[in-house]
Amino acid sequence: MADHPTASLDDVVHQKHRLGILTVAAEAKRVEFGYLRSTLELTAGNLSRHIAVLEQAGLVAVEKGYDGKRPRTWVSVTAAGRAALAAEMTALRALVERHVASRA
Amino acid sequence: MADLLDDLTELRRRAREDRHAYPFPLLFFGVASFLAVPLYAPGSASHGFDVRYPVALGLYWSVVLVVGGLATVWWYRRRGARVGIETSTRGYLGALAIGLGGPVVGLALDHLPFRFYSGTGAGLILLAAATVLWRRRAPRAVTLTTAVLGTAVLQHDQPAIGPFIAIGLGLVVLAALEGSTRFTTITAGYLVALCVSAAFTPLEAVTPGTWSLGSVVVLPGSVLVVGGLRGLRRG
Repeated sequence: MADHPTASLDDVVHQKHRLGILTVAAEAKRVEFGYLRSTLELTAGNLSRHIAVLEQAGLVAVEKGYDGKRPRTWVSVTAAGRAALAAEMTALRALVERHVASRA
Repeated sequence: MADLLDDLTELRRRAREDRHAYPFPLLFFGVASFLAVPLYAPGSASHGFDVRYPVALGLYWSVVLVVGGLATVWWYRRRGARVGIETSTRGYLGALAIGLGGPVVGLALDHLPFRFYSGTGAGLILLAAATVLWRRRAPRAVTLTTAVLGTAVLQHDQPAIGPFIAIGLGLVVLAALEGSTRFTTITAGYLVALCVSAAFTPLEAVTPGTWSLGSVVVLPGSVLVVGGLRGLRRG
């Protein structure tokens, strides 16, 4: 018997804000901390914590630098992060399809 | 769950929109196309693509392609730093190198022991193959070789639109990197205009003038300028 789609959900990725960070980062070469904060409407502390979790899991890479005198933090998704995001999206779609089919 | 998927789709759409920077290359190459018209004054030959100052025309386009390509990369990086979301320009630099390398490889094509039945057809097939290889993440050396060969054969067979083929190659790669429907549509329109221009430019006019040869730039140049202006208007 095939596993239920929930078995494919990864706790690290599945959290809504972390999924948002991965989704935005996967669309670009790299994305700046301030952009993520305003797009995802998170506080700096909250966003930092989510990025730290993703970085620890090897799903994103963090790069710190300066734009003139202004410190900037850039986040880019790793190959493992892309794979994890793709797996998560597949699992989510399968769950939605299963839910729709069960109601039909 | 469906709401979450919708939210993520919206995030993706917004990220793509914020990355868009395509009006600059369109306007740069569009304006440069029209500025090239005086260099299309006809030479002494009464047939084929023969201009009075071929070296000046070649030099002009080489400078435009190099400066335009590097300025485009700078523009994308500057915009990325300003907005906070950066587009990778490595693929575009590769396309630029292929477009510039095409004429060099094309010189060797003159010494081949055979001729293509249709150089245009062979070039297009090779470029289509290179696109498939790129999308399927084939080994880079194979993809690059196929793309360089395709570009060289096409530019060799269509010298009047050679620089526009290089511009088109860059736009196709940029459109794929941006993931913008509007930019992809403009690029497709540009490629169609280029084909029409190549097919109907009166190279065989009895008394060729600057505009009979120079008209080769008008259609693709117009698409670039109009596309760039539309992009600017949309922000």
